[in-house]
Amino acid sequence: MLSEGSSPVIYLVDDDKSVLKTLPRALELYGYTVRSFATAKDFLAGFDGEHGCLLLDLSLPVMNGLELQDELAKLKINIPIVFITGHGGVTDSVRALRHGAVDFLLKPFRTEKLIESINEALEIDSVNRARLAKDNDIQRRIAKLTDRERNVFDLLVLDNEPPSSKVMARKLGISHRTVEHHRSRVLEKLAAGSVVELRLTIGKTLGAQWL
Amino acid sequence: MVETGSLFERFTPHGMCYQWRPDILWLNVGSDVIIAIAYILIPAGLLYFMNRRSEVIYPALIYLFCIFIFSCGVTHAFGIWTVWNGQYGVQGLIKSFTAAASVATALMLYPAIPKLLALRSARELEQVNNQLELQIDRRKKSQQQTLELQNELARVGRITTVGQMATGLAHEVNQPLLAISASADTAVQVARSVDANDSMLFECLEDIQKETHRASEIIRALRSFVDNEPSGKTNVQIDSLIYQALSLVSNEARNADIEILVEIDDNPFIEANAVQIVQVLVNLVCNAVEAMAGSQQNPARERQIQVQTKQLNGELHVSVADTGPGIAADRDPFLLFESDKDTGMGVGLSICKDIVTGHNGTIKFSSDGTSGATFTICLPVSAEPHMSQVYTDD
Repeated sequence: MLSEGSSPVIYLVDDDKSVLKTLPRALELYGYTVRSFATAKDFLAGFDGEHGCLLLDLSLPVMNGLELQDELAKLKINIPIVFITGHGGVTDSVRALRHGAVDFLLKPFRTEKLIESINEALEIDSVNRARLAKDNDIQRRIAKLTDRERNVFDLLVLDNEPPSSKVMARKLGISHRTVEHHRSRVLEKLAAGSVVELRLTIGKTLGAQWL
Repeated sequence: MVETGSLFERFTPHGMCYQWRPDILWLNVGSDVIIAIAYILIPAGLLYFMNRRSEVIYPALIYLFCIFIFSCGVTHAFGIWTVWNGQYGVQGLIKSFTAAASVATALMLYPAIPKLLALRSARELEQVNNQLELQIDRRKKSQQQTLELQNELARVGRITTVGQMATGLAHEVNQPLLAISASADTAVQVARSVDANDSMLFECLEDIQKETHRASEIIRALRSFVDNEPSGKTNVQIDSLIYQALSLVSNEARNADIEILVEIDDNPFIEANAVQIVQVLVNLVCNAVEAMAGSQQNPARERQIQVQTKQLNGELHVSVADTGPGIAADRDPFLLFESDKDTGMGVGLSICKDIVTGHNGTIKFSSDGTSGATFTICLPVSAEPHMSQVYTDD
């Protein structure tokens, strides 16, 4: 796992000075690294994509928490969000959670409760990052395939049933033996032991129709 | 002398016809004198009446009557003259004038009769007048009601303003409360890390936490009390509503040295508009507080409000009982409190009744007139308690 080595970062966005002062102090005592921002804009400028989660105040000047959540989705920044709010209504909380927020905490909350939510968010981020790393790895491996190998790969993966090498040979206009050769190269390059294993890992990454 | 054949020729006086018998003569003359006087006085009276009365129907007709009656009078007066002076030509002229006046009067009178009949009689007018007075009374009453409703509306308006303020307040106050809470947690951690084993220190910090969260609960309750966001009915448990209501009124009770006891015997779910039911509960408790605070309480009896819940035959009964002076049996409290309150956070008992009725429930009241009053609201218990709420305050 890529995230194991580096310690996670808690990004805190809140416009209240006393919250910005006391909340990081409480969290740092538990060993967390906290980076604080007073506005959504500051956060977008200062976010460095490290493993972590976002503690986001709902009501912020200029761009509020829900708007920042949308903006992050637009920018494809997939950081787990824990909303913290002083006056959360049901409508806001439902919207935030439906858009993928991990939790919605009403201020004031106990530090223990916040840490529970943070840990849940960090767990989600770890999973997300691991999956992303795996996806990237597979993409890299696919990129290494030759054109012919890529043709065989597509036939192996994209249909509901993997065709037999005879069928593939006919479709591609090459010999049965050459298809078998290419197939073993594909499995080797993508570090898969069998076609079934290949379809399982690749299918998840590419979001193939038959899964 | 007057010429013979003239209209003014003198004939044998009329007295001759009476053969100058004084009894016949004076009977006629006397009667004619009286008639003449009367016939002159009648038009005089009519003219006087016309003069005093600003608006008279058919003045022309009355003038004609005056002329006709006066000329009758003159005719009778001239009849006296002819007893001694036989000027029958002159008498004829006068009579012809009277005839003209009488015909004119008659001609004018008949067409006027239907119109005169159409005029309301005095009795009819009186009836109409009475009806008008009744209408005015009704108007005044409805005006009074409108005024009361306006006052009620103004107060609800003030509550709404407070609500808007409460929303802002909730946000503003919860920020420092979070800072306090986080700092207290930090302090606990620090104290542990330096092996400070002072139990009082931890107790103090725990108290800071507790009070911080209590403050936040009060603000949240105030906000949801006046907030109209959750306007629909939800499945709620009655105890949460009771505690929300009490957090809003506990200060008033404390100030009046009143103890509030809560007994949740049953705690079923009800399908209710939480804010409205909290309003009703606040109102009932406020009334109880006011009833006791404003009375000369028997010092031997404790000032107490008991809030109790019970489930009976599929109905939830929530009673609010006080130990105040009670309400006399002949008075309807739902009218009693209708208009005499302009303070407090409640919305008036009449509205409470409306709210409870809107929940298919009833509100009852009992008092023996001396030792306290008890209000009970009965609400249907929801059949299936299902967890539909997205988040709960805890």
